[in-house]
Amino acid sequence: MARHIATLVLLFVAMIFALVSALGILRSKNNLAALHCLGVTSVTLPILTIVAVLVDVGVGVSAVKTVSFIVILLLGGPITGHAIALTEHRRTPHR
Amino acid sequence: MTPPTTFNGMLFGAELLFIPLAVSLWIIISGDTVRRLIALQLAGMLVATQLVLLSIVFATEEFADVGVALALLSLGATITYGHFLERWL
Repeated sequence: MARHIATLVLLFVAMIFALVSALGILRSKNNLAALHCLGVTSVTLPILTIVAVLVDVGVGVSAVKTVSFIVILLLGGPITGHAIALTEHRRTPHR
Repeated sequence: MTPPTTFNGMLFGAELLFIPLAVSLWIIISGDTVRRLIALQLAGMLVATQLVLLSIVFATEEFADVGVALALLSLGATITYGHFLERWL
């Protein structure tokens, strides 16, 4: 039971970070600021997810698959962030 | 695939992620073009995480495979769509 509560708390914290990030994207004045808000989730969500999985099921086949998934998210976040920022930079008229 | 009969923290946690997902879907509906792309990236991340968590809850390996595939496709799709926006729109 304690494991389930600890997992729920970790995923709740992840949800709070994701919600703050989503609201930040919604309320940002420009797209680069919105992209900055996306960075909150792209770092915290994978880390909190893998901690929650390790707390709940321990080290096993599921944890290995989750780690591969987390690595994709952690490596892919900066790449996509850079691609979107480059798009926004080239689309915005300069002074 | 049998659902858990007792309290499961991971199942509740996966369901909690629907709240930021709803906000990001609202941005996808109402935002401007680049902001839609940013919200799409967030939504892809959230759905892939939910799939991986549900694969553990229901002990179904296929969900995890779909989650990993979605994360990989989301990465490629965002880069490709960003390039498309930059060049043609």
